[in-house]
Amino acid sequence: MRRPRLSAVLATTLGVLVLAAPARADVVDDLYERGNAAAAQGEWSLAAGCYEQARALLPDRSAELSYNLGTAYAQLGHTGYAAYHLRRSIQRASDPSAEVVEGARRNLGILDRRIEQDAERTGGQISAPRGWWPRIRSALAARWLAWLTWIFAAGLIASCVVSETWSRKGRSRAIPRAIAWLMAGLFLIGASVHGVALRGERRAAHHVVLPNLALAREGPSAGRSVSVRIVGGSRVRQIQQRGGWTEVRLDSGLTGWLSDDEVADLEAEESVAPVADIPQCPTDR
Amino acid sequence: MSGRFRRRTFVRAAGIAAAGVVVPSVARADDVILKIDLPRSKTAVGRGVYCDVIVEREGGSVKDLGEPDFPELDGLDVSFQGQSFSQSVRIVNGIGTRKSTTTYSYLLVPNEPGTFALDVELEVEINGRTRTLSPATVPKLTATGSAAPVAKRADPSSRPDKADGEVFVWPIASKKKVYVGEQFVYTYELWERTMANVEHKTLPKLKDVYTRELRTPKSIRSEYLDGYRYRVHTILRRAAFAQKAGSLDLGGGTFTVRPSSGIGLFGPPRHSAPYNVEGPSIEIEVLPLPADGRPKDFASGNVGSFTIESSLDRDAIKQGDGVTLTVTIKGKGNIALVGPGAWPDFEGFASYDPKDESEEAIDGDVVGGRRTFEILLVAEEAGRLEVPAVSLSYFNPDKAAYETIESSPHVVEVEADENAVVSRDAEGVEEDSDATLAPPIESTMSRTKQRNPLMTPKRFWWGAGLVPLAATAWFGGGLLWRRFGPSETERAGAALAKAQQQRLARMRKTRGSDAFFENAGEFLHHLAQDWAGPEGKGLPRERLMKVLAKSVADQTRRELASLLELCDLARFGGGGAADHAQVLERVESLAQWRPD
Repeated sequence: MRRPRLSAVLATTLGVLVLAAPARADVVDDLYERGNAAAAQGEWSLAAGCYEQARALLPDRSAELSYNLGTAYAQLGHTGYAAYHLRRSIQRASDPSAEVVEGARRNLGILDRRIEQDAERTGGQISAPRGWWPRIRSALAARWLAWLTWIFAAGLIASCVVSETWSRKGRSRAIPRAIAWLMAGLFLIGASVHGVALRGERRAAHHVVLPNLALAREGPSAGRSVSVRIVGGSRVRQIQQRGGWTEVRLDSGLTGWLSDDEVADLEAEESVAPVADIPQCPTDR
Repeated sequence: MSGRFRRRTFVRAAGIAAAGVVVPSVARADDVILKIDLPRSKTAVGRGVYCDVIVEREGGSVKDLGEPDFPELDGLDVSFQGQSFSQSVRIVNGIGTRKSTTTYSYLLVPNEPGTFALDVELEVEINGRTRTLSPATVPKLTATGSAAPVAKRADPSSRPDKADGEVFVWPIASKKKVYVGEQFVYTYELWERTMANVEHKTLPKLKDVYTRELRTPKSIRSEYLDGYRYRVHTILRRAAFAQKAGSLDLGGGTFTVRPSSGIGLFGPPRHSAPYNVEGPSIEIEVLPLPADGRPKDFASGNVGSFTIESSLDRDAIKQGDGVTLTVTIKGKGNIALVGPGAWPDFEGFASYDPKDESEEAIDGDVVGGRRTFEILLVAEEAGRLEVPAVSLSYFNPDKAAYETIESSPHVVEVEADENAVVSRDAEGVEEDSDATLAPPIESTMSRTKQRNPLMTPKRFWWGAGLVPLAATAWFGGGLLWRRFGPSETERAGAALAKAQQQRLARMRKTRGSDAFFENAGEFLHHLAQDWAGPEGKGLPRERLMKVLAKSVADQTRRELASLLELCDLARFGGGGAADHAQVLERVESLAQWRPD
């Protein structure tokens, strides 16, 4: 009598597990398609709402979703949010396709011009344009150089061991010595270059200002006077955080305090809240 | 007894002293209080009041998260003045408590009458939990009266003619009437004869006006009004261009006057509350540009006085080649907005959008400069082509009339070229495609799982740091071993001694057996070789003994020889168990001898 009951429970459990997984994926894809349909009609606000809901349900990253959401925000004039999502879409962690990279770079170029025009109009501050050094620095801070440096270190250690072994056996150790010196040199160069690049990346500006014009204060309080106005979409560097406020620094050296919800970290995985007046995606088909 | 008593007393005293240090830091009551100190609850509109927000903490596990959050109250300006911190320790009945106080000072200035509730909040972390604090009693500030609106001045360009208090603001416009786009000079002066600190709070609002900064004198001049001597500060000077016709209201700014603090002889120093001084706004009349006589090609930004000239970089080209027409407009006015309007029709040429560059120059108080346009003209036809003159129509406000001027025309000789291909449609006027956003992607949405990478910066540094550590240990250990470890001789001696012990042990094991004397003989022979050193290697017994004669004492040598002979005899049939013991004892005794 017990066996049928147990098998029924197992079957039900398995059935729920099997059926639940694709149902979850459908919801996200469905919201994404609704967003695309709204975007095709020019209803950017609704498109952004659908994309935001899809993003909230998606535990992973999606380059296409981030790109579409950023484009929708750009159409709506939310420069900061647009810049944030477009930059996320082309990060290595999102694994973007060539189509996403091309579209995102184009849209980011347009956003950069808008940011400059906004700065001209409002007198706000913006970040300096990124030259070639940040790209090179990113490449040198990548994991491939770290692994290569470790390989050189392992080669150095192995050469030293072989050299000692050959010495005890009475053999000439000129060759392992030469290899050891070469490995040591390569290891030092690799470690130095990678270390400098890592340090540079850590100090780089990878926070984005979200509101179109953010008022950075002199202290971590809304009662403090405004120290600098920053145009949305600008990249800033985080100095410290305190009590719901973040102190940021621009490339020009100007600093100020922004509320935590006014600045987003491109490197962090926690998601940014959607823009306040974005509507919900309708659920009926 | 007395020694023990002294020791006990010392231990007790030390224990009490330690408790006195340890216990106060351990015993703490974690608590925090938020208080607001408002010395005056009533004030007049425009008169400031200082307010302190005091945060008192007891214990060490209370942490402020940010600063007090002042409510946003319409009609009340709140400005942060600074903060101070103090700390104290109180010990009562052996229990110590640490108390710290942070004081945040604010200046409250009401701009309109009303009652303002100062419901300040502060977020703190107590024992790891976040709490929002509010004062037990919310103080209220009541502002009465109304700030009398500062009357507009009838003549915006007039100078002050009477003393108006210790501090007053005086804006000046150089003209009472201007045309749209015509330049006038706006000056903002502060007249004061006070010992107080005067600082600007808001600058004047210059709406519907395009401005350029002019040189502002840094020096302070003195002027007399009604017998009073005033110091006149020029705060700003701007060249302004009105953008809209009608009455232009140039709003007054505001200054804050902070009277000097008095020194309290029997109490803390008194601070007089600051107050605001508002500058009057001035109004000028902006006249629209006359419709009568307006040229058809007139562009609205062309107000001033200008000249125009043009030039070509070449006057002879082949069909299909291009020439650059450079048009330069110079003069006085808002040069960044000046332009010819519609360009003439360049017959026989394909023309492209002009590139322009402005160079502003300010001469005294007059804004001017030059603006240059470069147009690429590509010859589509052969022959003698004329580049027509470019005309510029502008409104001269000094003459209150429109003027039209022209540059000189140019002639280009174009040589025919059958192979020339000029397509006006292909590259005509470039679309501003760069301003159009790329559309969303409609393909299937990909998903990328987040993985924790194996190589992280921290692991890299750990791994990279191990290499120099390993190298240091390797080479350093070798150096130390060579410096402080046993020498070669000592190591060789240790190896020999070890081998000897092994042979001796083997010999002892075979005591009582037939192999005893064989092992004993072998041991003695090796012992002799060890004594002889490298010289004795491989030598037969006789020669070995001769070598030993140089370094071994006679008695020892004879004992060795005797034992060797005994072992030889015993191997071939002699010696019982008693002999084994005796021989063993003699051999062990001999083995302890060491050559010099």
